[in-house]
Amino acid sequence: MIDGLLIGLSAAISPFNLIMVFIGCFLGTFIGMLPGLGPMSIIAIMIPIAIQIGDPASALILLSGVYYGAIFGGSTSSILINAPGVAGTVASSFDGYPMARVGQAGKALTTAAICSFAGGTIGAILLMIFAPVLSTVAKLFWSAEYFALMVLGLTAIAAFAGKGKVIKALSMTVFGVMLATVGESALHNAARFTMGIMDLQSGIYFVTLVMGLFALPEALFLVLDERRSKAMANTNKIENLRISREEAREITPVVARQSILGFFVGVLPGAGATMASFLGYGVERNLAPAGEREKFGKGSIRGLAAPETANNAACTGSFVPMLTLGIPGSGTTAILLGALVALSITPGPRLMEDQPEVFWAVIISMYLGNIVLLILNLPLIPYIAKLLTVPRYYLVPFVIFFSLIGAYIGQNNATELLIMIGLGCMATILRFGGFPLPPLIIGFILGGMLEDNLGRAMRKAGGLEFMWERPMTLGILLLALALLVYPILEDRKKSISE
Amino acid sequence: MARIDRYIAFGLLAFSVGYGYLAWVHPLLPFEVRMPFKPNTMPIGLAAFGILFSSLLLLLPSTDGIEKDADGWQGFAWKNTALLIILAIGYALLLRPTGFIASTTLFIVLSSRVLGETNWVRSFGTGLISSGLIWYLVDNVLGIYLVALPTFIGTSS
Repeated sequence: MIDGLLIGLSAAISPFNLIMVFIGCFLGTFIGMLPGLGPMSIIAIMIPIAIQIGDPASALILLSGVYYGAIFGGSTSSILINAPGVAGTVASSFDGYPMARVGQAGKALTTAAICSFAGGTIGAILLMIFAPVLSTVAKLFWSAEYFALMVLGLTAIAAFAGKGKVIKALSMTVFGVMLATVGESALHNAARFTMGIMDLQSGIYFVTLVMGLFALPEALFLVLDERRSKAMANTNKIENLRISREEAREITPVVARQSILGFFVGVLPGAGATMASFLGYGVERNLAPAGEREKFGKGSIRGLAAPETANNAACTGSFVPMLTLGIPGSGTTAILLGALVALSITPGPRLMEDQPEVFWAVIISMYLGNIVLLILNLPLIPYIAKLLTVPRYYLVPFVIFFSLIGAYIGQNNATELLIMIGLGCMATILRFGGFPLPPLIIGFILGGMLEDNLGRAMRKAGGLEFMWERPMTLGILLLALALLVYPILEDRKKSISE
Repeated sequence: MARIDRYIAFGLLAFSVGYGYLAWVHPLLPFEVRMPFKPNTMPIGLAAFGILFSSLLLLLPSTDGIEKDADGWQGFAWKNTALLIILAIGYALLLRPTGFIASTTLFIVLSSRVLGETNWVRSFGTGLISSGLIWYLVDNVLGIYLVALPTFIGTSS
């Protein structure tokens, strides 16, 4: 392993490659802030440039800088304007945006940067140690276990089910899964619930839904409730950048746990950063002490640290099946796989033996990407956070504009904008009724995968028997049930005693 | 007067019933009829859960306090919000025929005016410069096709 590391280091560390990683991180961060342009699209856009470079190590270093930069950029728009452009950063907005609203935007961004760095770095170390072994373990997971894992991911909704909102949270989750069934599913070619609207044939576009549910209602509320926007203007002092010693002590175990959990979830093909971030959020919410648990969803630093660490660790973990088996575990790694093939590299079991310099250069470039991202972004955070001090009469139109254009450039279809405005009005009404919206988006994101895996498992087993016949499936489902029911019962007990 | 969450629960119940009906009558192919998992298996289950939860919301007494956002409805700026929604709809409808730069500039100028900007030159300058920069970034740098000018001018980008 040491020899491999040295080979990777010699391939990765050169002035040209360092410039590449800086350019990649910088471009990724700024383009990633635009809603609708996630790591997948940005990497796809950068591939022709990477191929032009010619040298595989330099090209991969550039792409990995873009990758990590785009994830951090997505978190930034999530935290500052409640506009998560990609599914993997949705969970970061649950607590990141409430922190920004009470004048802690700088601290939230610093937490996100440090936790992303820690998650990515620990993930890269785990990748070096476990890559060959884990590729075998990942193959043991069948659709039944994936289904159980999706159910486990849904337990994150428990965080929004407190104080008599259990049924509201559950109904929003069901509504979200219902929206995910619109259009064609991976198992069936026939379109469902499209009402004859051609634009719904491929389903509801994720960015349209997320902008309609989060960014647009937030902008509308800033206009609707002037007291709220005045209160926000008063708290938009960006003085508080540092994480206190107590807060550091509080998030350290979260970072340690979520780096490991996120990495292992990332290793499973198809699970990825989104699943890891929701799972991490739910797990930390359940592990938090009773007083801290109530802060989740309202600006808890643990609630921000958990998904930020887990999604970066999962991104690193998703390289395991790609590098060792040649199986892309996520959309982004599928694009990266394409880039590797275009660079005449064939990922798979023989990559480590045939082209060790490439294998180790990828790992070293991940380290470099994380380090450079931290160096580049920490000094920029006060300037990025100043976005919130833009006067309301420009901030609101620009939030609406970026939400609309994010949905438009993804599909190049003006109907998406009308759907988004309709969703935004619906979400505003739901907020008036006290319905939590995060369960809806969790249900939507996991709904498609849930149906696909349930369908495959049922077809294989001939029914629902797989739930109790496969020990690993049963174990995960029981854990999910416990994680969902225990905090709800505890909240109920508490509200009765009060 | 019934609380707003009851109206929403009623809307969800109606949606679940309609969704369940569409799932139930979804045409199945001959080979799908005998499958353990059909295209409408999960939707029927979801509709059942949707009907159950929305009925519980309607029938059980509410234990949660409605969000603070709903407090003091009278103090809300309904007119400005409605104008902003109309402007967003107008932007969606004009984006293709008038092109990205003109429609975006118009949207930024008008919506900032609605929200209190009084300086025409500043709002026009902000709208034009930002829309031009974003169009250049998206269309020329990133290579994502975005119509810049109105269709009647004849040039697409």
